[in-house]
Amino acid sequence: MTVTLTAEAQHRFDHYLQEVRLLLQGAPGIDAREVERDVREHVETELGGTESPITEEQLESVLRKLGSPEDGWTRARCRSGGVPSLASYLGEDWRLAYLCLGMTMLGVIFLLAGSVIALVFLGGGYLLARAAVSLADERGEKLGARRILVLTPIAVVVVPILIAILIGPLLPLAEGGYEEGWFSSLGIGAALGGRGR
Amino acid sequence: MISEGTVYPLLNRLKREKFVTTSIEESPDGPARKYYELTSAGRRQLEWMNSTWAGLAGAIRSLQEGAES
Repeated sequence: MTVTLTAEAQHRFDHYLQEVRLLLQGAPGIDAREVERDVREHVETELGGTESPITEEQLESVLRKLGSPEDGWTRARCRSGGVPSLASYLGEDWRLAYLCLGMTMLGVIFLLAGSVIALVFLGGGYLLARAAVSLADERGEKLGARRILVLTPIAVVVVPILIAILIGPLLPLAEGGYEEGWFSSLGIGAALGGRGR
Repeated sequence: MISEGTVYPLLNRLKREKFVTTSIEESPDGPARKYYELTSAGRRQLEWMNSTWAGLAGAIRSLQEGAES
């Protein structure tokens, strides 16, 4: 800080900045450290022309105009604990959610038609859905009613992959591939009705 | 009354949402100043908000006029 504060004023200012930090910590879409830096610069600018060292009273007059972080700034916070996003004023943006679902539906149609291009649409829908979730998280929004549009493309990709991972290794057992599999030594095949040695 | 400090978290969020950009410029009168500038997305958002506000204000005005007459 370029202005010099008395020990009392410095203590008061540190306490104020600590309040700002605590209040904004974890608030979605807010960089608490940058806001703290902005507040520090604001105070520095306001007190720039004042003779040093700055007393607690002089500092207090600036802090009063800035407002108490607890009483004043909390008005800018939404119920979830953060500053309200623009979306909370403007309404939810459904475009990305519809795009995710649209791509996935095209993917399913191509899949039923037996076309390889289905993988492109399913993959694209999955990636867009993940982006929509991240974006909502970054903006401190809840997906709300958009959830079904966004989570379906993820489920359409993840669920079959999970099933493949879980059941895939067991398929050779059913097809009589027991002798070749590593699980033969564990006796899993026998337990599942595969051919034993 | 909204205190001056309230503006900083809001500006920070606008920056995170890429509606504004910031630049630091040296000032002859004291510490360097931070300038906020609307991006093209910010301008579009502003126009949208202005038109929404105009619609809302017009609706309220017509309600008031209806109540008075």
